[in-house]
Amino acid sequence: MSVFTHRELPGAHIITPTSKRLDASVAVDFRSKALAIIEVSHLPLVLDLAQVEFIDSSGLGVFVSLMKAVDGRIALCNVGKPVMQLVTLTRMDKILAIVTDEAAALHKVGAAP
Amino acid sequence: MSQLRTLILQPAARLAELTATGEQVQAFLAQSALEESARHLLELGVVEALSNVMQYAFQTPEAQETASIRLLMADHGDYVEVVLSDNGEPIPAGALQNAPLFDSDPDASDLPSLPEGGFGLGIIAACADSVDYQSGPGGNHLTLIQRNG
Repeated sequence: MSVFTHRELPGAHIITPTSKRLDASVAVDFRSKALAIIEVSHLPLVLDLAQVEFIDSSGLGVFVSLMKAVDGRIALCNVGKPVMQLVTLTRMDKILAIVTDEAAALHKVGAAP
Repeated sequence: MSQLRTLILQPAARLAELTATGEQVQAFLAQSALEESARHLLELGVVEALSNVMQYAFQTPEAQETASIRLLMADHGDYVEVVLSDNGEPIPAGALQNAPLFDSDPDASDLPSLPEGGFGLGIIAACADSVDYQSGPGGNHLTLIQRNG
């Protein structure tokens, strides 16, 4: 079973994790599969976290890894409170673009129509 | 007078156990009187500590064979106490006390330098009102106490 669903729009990838918990037990698999997608088509990335209730530092590390892979052109949307708490604690909110929804995320990475 | 509520888990020393264990921790804390943000932070700290033990405390086949992890959670009403015990390799001396404090902003202009890991101990150190780590012949014991309010 895949840990996320993926859609490729003309100007961006949209990856939606399907696990409620993005922890160290799924992080390696998530990272490698997401990087493989980006490698094939080097577009900006939207991470839609609507289904994610919890991430740990390994999950956060995946976000940073993906951010590097798309040269910083990444936006997170539908970010829940527990996820936001970790992002804020580690100050990653200073570098990760976090917006409300998918439309705003697409706009943020320059892929809005 | 509030009633003591406890949860004792003994997950196997492998990362595949982490998600299910974390879900039980989350469910236990959801019934506590802790504020939402304190609850999330404590859950995060417990998961980081478990992940650390599962990944690094039992590196050899011999250690794996005798590995023991025990997580005790006690809800005292006005505070929640967590004791994570294991018989593996301890966290190096001073590592938890000297964990990163997240006191400076990452530099977005230097993407390659951004950290993709190494947050775990800093999160454990920051996840509760009281964080204590003891290591000795009886094993390693991490005690977290989060008070309500």
